[in-house]
Amino acid sequence: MIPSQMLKGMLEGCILKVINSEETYGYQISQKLKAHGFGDISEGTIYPLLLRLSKGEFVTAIYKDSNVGPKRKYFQITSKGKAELELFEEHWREMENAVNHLFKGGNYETK
Amino acid sequence: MKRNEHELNKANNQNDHLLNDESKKYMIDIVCYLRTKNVDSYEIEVIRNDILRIFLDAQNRGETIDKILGSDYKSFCDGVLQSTGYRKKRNIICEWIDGLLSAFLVLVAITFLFSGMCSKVINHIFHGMEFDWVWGITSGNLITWSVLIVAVFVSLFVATNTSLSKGKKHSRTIYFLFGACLMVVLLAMAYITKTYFYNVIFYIHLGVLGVAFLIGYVMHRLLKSCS
Repeated sequence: MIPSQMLKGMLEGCILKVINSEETYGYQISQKLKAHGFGDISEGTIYPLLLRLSKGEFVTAIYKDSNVGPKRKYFQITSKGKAELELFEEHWREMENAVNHLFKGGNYETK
Repeated sequence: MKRNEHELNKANNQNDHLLNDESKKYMIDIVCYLRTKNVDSYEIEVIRNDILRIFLDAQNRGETIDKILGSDYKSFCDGVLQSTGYRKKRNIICEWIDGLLSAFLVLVAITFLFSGMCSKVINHIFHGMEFDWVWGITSGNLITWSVLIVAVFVSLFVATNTSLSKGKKHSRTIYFLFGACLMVVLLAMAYITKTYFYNVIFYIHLGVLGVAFLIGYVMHRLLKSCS
């Protein structure tokens, strides 16, 4: 299971990636992240991030009927969100390279 | 309250009834906590609407709220707070002034209704009894109004600031005793002020009182729109 502190910084970008692939809602996002190996990420963790993404106009919300209960809030990515996602991917690649370099091939000396 | 906010509030109140007891308890705590943190009231209704949907969905899936929010739901609220905007100082000040003004107007109206002035007005109009159209405000009235306003604001502050305090959950008995003690103090105060503080500080003409109420109401509407 990925520690929550490690997830914190990148979850927002991962949520954007999920929304980018299709219009979706909170619970479905948590299930998709789980299917990708992120572990149990509750809606309670996702909701504040979705709120922040909406505030930043990276996603927009529309309400759609649900088979059970009240209407569901579906999120769509905006052009600003797509640009943000590209930036996230770029930063992630840089970090991935750096961490891989350090752990696989980098010189690591201990005193 | 703006129109959108009013409609959202109405819809949320309707959806509240669909929640089970466990979810309702969480909902009350969360909303109370957000209200203490100077979040815009419209924003609170939007968040409330979202959380209601999440809770109702979870209910339909047969999941507990603990599973949705985690055991520490204060951190969920703090996450929400970080993601949402805080209210401007001007709006907070407007709300406080409006609260004070509304409380004062209601207290004056209640005191007037129970002061015997209404019967004097009716007797003057229908039976021609002598009446000078003035109302004497006693020192007791001023003391009662001040104490009641402070008591209401302190109670509100305590109620909203202890909504998510974990580990220090007060039992219903303690709240009942607190309420009972408050009631005894208020009744004692009513007796003391009526017995010892009955000297009139100033007189106010009922026409002036009516105009003051009208101005107060207009101010209340203006403050409400900017809070």
